[in-house]
Amino acid sequence: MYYFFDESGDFTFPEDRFDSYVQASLICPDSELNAVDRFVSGRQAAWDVQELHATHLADDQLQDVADFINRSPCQLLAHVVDTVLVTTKQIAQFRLDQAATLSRNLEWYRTESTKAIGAPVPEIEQRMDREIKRSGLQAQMNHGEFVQSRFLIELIFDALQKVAAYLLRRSVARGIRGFSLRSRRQAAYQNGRRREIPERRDRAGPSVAGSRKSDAGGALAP
Amino acid sequence: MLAEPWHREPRHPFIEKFSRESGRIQGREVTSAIDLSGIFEHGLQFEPSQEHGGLQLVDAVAYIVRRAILEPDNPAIQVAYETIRASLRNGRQSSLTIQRLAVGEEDRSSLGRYRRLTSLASPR
Repeated sequence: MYYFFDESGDFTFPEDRFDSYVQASLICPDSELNAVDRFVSGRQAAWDVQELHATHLADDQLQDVADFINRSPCQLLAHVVDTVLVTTKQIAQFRLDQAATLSRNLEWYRTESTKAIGAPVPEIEQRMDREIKRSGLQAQMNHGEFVQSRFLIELIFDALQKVAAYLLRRSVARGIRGFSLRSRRQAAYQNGRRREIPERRDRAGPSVAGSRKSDAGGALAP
Repeated sequence: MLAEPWHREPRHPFIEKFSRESGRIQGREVTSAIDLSGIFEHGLQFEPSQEHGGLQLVDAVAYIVRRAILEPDNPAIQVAYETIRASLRNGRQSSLTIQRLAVGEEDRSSLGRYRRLTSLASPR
């Protein structure tokens, strides 16, 4: 089962205008992956483009993509957030609260690990300290990246839940070889234009990966 | 805990593939465990979109949904949204999940924008 994730919008949360940001997932059974790739390759050739970039597609081309998805067994999910429901002030407060909670957890860990084994494990302390800085400091991760990575975890959780129901059909489950989660390489926005940046393991990736395991446990418990 | 009938013969294919007779959870020995490391052995991979048709399609999905929110009077984009609406069904029987941070006072004035998009049936 393949899970693809991407977002639309720059997640900059301006205070002077309304904007809305969407994260979506496309869930593709193993048996459909070739059909998806064939459709995309066919449209790239027909529309004379190297890649289907949604922002470059005309409305009738977007409709063509929607028709293909509607005909296919692929499933979708979409999560939305906007600049009214979530403001920069709220994000800043949320991050400070989270950093404070993580700091309390670190203190608790230090006390209890000292009681149990004589001293805390330095790697665990360092990891928790990194998470505290990431949560609380914009210099480590800007508000947009923070919101994206936080809500991406929830989207992954929902996608796994959706598939758990799908797996109840034995004929579907029989064709599953494993679970593969794929996202576009981290994108950054510069002067309103999107550019892809190389993967950096110390950015949003590990936060997502770190939360994924516990989410997965819940997702597989219908 | 997985649905108990999945463990009965003939066992569900998911159990066949990912169940282990024993394993350890938080240091404790357990029996009949699900091997999450087997399920997610590849982790979340960040890939270049030109190499994956699925990433290009999900880019279009996110774009269609966002434009359906921002352009309620654009009939072409509303038809595209209608086309994928049923496939967007989530666990709360809605076609769109609205995210927020549970902190501070919440201004709910934008929720009206989503009303016609969240129901699984078209409002038309």
